[in-house]
Amino acid sequence: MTGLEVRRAALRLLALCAIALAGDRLLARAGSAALMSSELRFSVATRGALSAEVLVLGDSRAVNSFWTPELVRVSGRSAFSLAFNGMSTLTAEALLRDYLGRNQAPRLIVLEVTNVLDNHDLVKALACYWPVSPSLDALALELFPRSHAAARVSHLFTLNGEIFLRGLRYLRRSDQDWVNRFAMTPEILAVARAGPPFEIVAPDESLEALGRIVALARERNSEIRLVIAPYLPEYIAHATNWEAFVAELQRAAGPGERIWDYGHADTDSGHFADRLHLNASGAVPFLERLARDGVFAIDTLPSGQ
Amino acid sequence: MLFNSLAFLVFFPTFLVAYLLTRGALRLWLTLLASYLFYAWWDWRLLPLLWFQTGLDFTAGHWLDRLESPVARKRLLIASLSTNLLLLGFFKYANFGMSTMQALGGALGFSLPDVKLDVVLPVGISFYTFQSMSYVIDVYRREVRPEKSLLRFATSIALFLHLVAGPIVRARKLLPQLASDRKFDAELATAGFEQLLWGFFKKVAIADSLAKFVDVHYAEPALFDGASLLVATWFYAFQIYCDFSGYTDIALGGAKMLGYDLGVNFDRPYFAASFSEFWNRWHISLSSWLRDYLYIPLGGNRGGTLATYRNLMLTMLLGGLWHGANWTFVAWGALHGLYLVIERALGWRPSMIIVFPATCFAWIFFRAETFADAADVIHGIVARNSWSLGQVQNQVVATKGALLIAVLIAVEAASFRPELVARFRSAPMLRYGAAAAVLWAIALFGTYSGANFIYFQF
Repeated sequence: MTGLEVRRAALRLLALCAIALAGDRLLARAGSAALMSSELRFSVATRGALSAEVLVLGDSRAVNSFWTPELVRVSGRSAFSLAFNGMSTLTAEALLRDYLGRNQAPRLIVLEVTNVLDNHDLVKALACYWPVSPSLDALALELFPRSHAAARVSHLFTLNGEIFLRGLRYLRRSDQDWVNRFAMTPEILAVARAGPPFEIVAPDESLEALGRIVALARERNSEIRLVIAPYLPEYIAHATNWEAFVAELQRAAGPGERIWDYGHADTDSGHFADRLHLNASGAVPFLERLARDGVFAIDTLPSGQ
Repeated sequence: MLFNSLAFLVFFPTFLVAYLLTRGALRLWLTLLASYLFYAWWDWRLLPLLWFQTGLDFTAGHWLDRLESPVARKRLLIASLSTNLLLLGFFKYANFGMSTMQALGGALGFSLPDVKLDVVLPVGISFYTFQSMSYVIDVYRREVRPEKSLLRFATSIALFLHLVAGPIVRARKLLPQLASDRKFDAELATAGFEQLLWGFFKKVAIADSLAKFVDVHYAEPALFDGASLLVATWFYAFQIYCDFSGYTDIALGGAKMLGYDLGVNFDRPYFAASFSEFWNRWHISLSSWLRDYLYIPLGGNRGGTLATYRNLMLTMLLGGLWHGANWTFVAWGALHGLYLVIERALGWRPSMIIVFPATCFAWIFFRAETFADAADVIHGIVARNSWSLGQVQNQVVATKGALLIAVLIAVEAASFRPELVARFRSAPMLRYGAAAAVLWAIALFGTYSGANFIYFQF
């Protein structure tokens, strides 16, 4: 009797596995289709055929500092932001390669260069784009082999995370107008003022990726601007190695590129959402200043001419 | 070994097959050795402590049965309980006690040295110590016959499914089930598998997703607006519930697949309409343990109104301290004690609308690492609150958390309707569909960071 019961349970388990696997494929296909039709920046870049003159790369500091509609206004050029929260230089390099494979090379790439991080979790979060982004896929295989293997077992697993949800949120509207609209609270300011001294560490692999991004831009005849967006002054005052950090970035970028250092350029705490990010009212004067300083000036001819 | 680890995904099916292929003493040996392997996965050096407590209470049980003199029996009981409590106290509370003494000395003007022992807290010590102690007390009370087989007794204490985070299964419940081979029952195993899947969903999809939001907010409460902190506190209420009841569901479901019934540990606690009902639904194996071995021996409600309040407060204070060596846990217990006293004093059944927010308020002390952090959270919620959900940070993550909580509430609310449950149980296709949907949800919403279960630290 027990043998019969065990066989019955095993059959039930097999039936469940079959249903689960079939559903996994079907649901993942439907989810991926929805995601690819989204107006989320990664989906738009993956669909291809973009011809933006200015391409923005970087992490959340780039998202908020280079507020795309304002960037378009002050520079007078079409722009597309591929920047995203937590985007390390290594991730930015992979995304740039995939972008250039599908879209017209931009005339100017603006990279917020403090994203020389050692956290590459965004690569994992972008699992939904692995199957259609060769460079990102290769990076994922190198950094997260177990997640990469899991994505082959369950296709739904690739849709796991914030990016897919954001994709659904931006099904019918662009995400290019993202900007932080929060204002500094006295508490955050107090925490920043009382913060301990800290050192900014740039891992070698990220600095090397920065060098490769510069080389890739040159290879594709795009100009590149390496910019450091403002930090909350009360916070960045505690950085003990600022000059050394900027010098390290400069070495990684190579002698032909300048680091446009605006790290201490904004002293108005009302322009910040928190210690790391400008808000909308800080992004506007910052972009206007960049335009005045010639950061958006382009010398090269449009690509293809 | 964590339930939500790759190692367990290999360990459990392998054990299950071997378990089904063996019988009698061999099956018990297999279960015991597998349980020790499961435990040793963290740190094999902790095993001797488990062996010592098992041997101590097994022997104490035998002697308690043999001795006739009430005085000698009482002495033996006290010796056994003291040893168990001393071990628990040393490993769990030694540093806490010394730091408290130092702080107290400082307040009184004495300068005491800051001594810290380098002691590893053995995983699950609070759970298996309480389980083992309840056996000795039950034998002393002659409510349970002493177990003759050390193999069976050791298996009942070490069974990997309940060893590290409960439920605290009483000897009278588990030992009889270990006395004979459990027959494999496909229906019970299916129900167990469904419960296990639901437990994984609660832990990996809900609890760990909410943890991402909660951890950020509780790490630096001063950085967030009151609305964000309020949402983080609500989320924590569901995080800890899904974390712990998820663990319990995996344990109970796994046990059903082996043919064991370990009881119920959570019964939809946030639907409780009173605080006493909450404690009849939350961590039932602990609250019933505290009732039977602490509250009632203290006098329960037999000594008049004030004595009842004192007993309630003492039980809840010690229940709070059981959770961790920190005064914040004691404050959490004190708040719940106070809730119970007020409820009893007013003869009042407050309703869910009062019980849930009050429970959330108490969770602030449970989650915060210090009173200053708890005060920061409360101050933020009260003083920096625009009462607008628009101020909540990372709204995509917050929305996902809210949706997952909504699913949980919907399923739990539906389970209050017996006709719906019966219809579900009698519809195989619906059950397949539901199980597959849970698997899809785990793939789609799960967090795979190998996060610990919160109750492991207790």
